[in-house]
Amino acid sequence: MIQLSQVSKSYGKGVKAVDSIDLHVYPGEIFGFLGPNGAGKTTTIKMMTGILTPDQGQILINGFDIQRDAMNAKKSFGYIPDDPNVFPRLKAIEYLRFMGDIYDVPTEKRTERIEMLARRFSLDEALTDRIQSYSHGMRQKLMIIGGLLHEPALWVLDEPMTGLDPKSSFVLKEMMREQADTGKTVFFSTHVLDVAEKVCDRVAIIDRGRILFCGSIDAMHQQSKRDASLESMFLDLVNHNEMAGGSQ
Amino acid sequence: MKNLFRLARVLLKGSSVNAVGSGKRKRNVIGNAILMTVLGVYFIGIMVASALGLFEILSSVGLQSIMVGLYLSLGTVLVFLFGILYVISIFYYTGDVEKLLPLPLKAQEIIGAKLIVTAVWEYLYLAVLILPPLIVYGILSGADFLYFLLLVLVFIFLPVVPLCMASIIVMLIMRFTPLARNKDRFNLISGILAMVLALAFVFGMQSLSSFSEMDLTRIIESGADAVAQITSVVFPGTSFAVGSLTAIQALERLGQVAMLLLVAVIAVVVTLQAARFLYFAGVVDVNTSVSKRKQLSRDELQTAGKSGSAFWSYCLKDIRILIRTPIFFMNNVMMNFLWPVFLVIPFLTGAADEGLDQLIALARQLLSDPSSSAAPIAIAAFFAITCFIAGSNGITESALSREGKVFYILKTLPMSWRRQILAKITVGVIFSLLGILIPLAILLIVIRPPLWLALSLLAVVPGGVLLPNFSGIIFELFWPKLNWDNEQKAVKQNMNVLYGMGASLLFAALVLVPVFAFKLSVTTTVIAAAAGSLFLSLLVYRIIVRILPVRMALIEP
Ligand SMILES: Nc1ncnc2c1ncn2[C@@H]1O[C@H](COP(=O)(O)OP(=O)(O)OP(=O)(O)O)[C@@H](O)[C@H]1O
Ligand SMILES: [Mg+2]
Repeated sequence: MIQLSQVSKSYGKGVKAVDSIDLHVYPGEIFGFLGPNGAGKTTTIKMMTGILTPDQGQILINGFDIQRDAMNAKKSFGYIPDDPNVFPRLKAIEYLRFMGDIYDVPTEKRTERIEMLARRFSLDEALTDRIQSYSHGMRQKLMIIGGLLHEPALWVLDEPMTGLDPKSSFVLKEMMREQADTGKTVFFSTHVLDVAEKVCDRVAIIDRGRILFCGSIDAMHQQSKRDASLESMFLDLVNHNEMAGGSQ
Repeated sequence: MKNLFRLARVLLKGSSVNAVGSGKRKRNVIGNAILMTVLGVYFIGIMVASALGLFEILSSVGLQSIMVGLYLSLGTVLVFLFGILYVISIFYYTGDVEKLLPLPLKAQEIIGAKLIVTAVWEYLYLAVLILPPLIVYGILSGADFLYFLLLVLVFIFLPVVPLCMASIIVMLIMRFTPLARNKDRFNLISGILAMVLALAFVFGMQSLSSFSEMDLTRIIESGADAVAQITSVVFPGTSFAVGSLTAIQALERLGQVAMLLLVAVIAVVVTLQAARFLYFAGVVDVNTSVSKRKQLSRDELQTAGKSGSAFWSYCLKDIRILIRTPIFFMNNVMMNFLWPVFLVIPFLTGAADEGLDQLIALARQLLSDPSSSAAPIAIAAFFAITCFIAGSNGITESALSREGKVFYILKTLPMSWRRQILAKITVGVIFSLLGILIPLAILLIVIRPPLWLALSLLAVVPGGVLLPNFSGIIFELFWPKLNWDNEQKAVKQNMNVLYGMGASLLFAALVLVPVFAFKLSVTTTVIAAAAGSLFLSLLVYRIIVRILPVRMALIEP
């Protein structure tokens, strides 16, 4: 569960990358965070995970304030960053062991999870190799395994599909569904609208730091009062926002 | 041709002396400049002193002119040796190679530009190591104007042949053998080699002073002769360079320079032609790490996946990265163990004169009396060395920087910032302790001091190790260098390492100065050094805890 209220952030003295946004993500749903390049998706996610401190507003992760109650909040989510270049000199298995220790995952459960996830992502033959020798997509899959080792109640993924092959991205979507069906929450950013349309229960569209729309795809259809594809609705919204001059 | 020079300019800008930019950059540039100047002046000093000494010895037997051949041969060999290392790294391993390959450039153009970049570095070395002694020679021997004019030309053309030969050899090696394909291994081996060379140089200079003058003249004469003969056979051109500076008739000297120029031009042409056939084919399969593709058995997975403490796991990750990254290994781990060796060498060579046994006996006698002034000074000096070793390995001073951008992700882990920082300090403390306890053990075995003295030395270790490690992390909290694309920037171009060294010297002085000034007794010295440094460490730790939340919140991408 995620609650953002009136959250803003600007880099340096520049314009607001995120401008007083409100967002509510409920347990048991897959939530898609859509928007064009530079809209503020990564910035929002970094504030949710404690990398960036918001200039204003409050963020609750599974009920814990990410600023005031950071430890409890951080234990309760798994974060997959958009850049998977982490610890190239470690072997994959060493990285997973590190993550397991940090998140305090017991030995039995850990081995079981590593074995299962590595097989599903076809990484099981590469676990003793250094991450240095991994391809981009392989690194991404390793980050996913590491971030989900402790079975968190909330998944936060920044552009998880880019760079994954069709099979792996299918597996990931499958896992997201399973996760949501057991009452947990998945929050991910993407610009692949097809994916969003197929897997998301609800989506939010952000542009220039402001939320333009938040709701189910059905609600979006109703709002635009025609049976258009998500793509054309998305383009409509963003274009309209651009003509209106972005944030007022 | 136009492409070549344009490319060379871009490459030069990108390397090392990178453009003076924003405030942070400027700080680093100035710091590096100071460091380079100090080192440069130090080596120029050594070389000038060596030339003055040699001239005095040799001119007494009328042999001074062999100095020219000696230094020029030395220069040629140095250019060749450094050339091999530089060419491998500049031609094949720098980050720009990947960006250059897809561009519509000919192999000759890339190699030509990179040759210029390499040459710039070589000229830098020669200007420090070879030029000063030859100028000294010119002045002392009352050489004419032509000598200095030709010296400039020789300086410009001498390195061309050995550098070109190094390039061709390296290109052949890279093309046809797997010797240097692994970047990490190469970096490690070449780094260790360079350090051994530096050690040998320092050691050799020290031991030279222990020969008698007659022996020395004989050794130099026969040595110089052999060296000159070998180099002039191996490197065509060196004999022309020597000739142009030592021949009697002006016309002959000019002729020799012309020959040097001719050889240099031929060398460049041959190298560029060789590049056409060798370069692209050799550069493609340089890699850093191989994947083995091996299925983990269930048992292996069990042991590999065994759960442990988060704190220790975090330390272990830092230690692994420190040891496995060649740049970190050489700058932080090796320096940690080499400083004691550097500090000990002067004593050993000094002892060669006196006889080691006598020296040890003397030390034992001086140190056995608690009321003498030697014991407190020895304790204070040991504390100073402890501080210096702990503060100059740069491990805590680059603790955040070494993570690079990954540090932002570490902020999302459910481990409090205080524990993360403590884990990083722990890694620094472990290495510092190893670095100081090994020399201490040797010292105790060799000198066998009385028990009270041994205990006093041990007593100052904790504070001497903790204080620099605690204070080092403060610099990192204020000025971490996280946005690098190349590991060198985290440790080599990181001012925090220099600040840390400065701070540790300050702590050393805080104990050394009062001990000297007020002639403190053993008890007071031990209390001041051991308790004082621990108290200060505690203070610094409190400061870290106090500023940590604000500093960490400010470390943002
Ligand atoms: N480190 C930074 N320093 C300054 N400005 C930044 C920084 N990171 C992002 N920005 C600015 O903040 C805004 C939002 O960027 P953000 O990375 O959140 O976009 P995004 O929605 O994730 O885009 P993309 O789809 O390309 O990943 C952009 O205008 C960008 O220029
Ligand atoms: Mg992004």
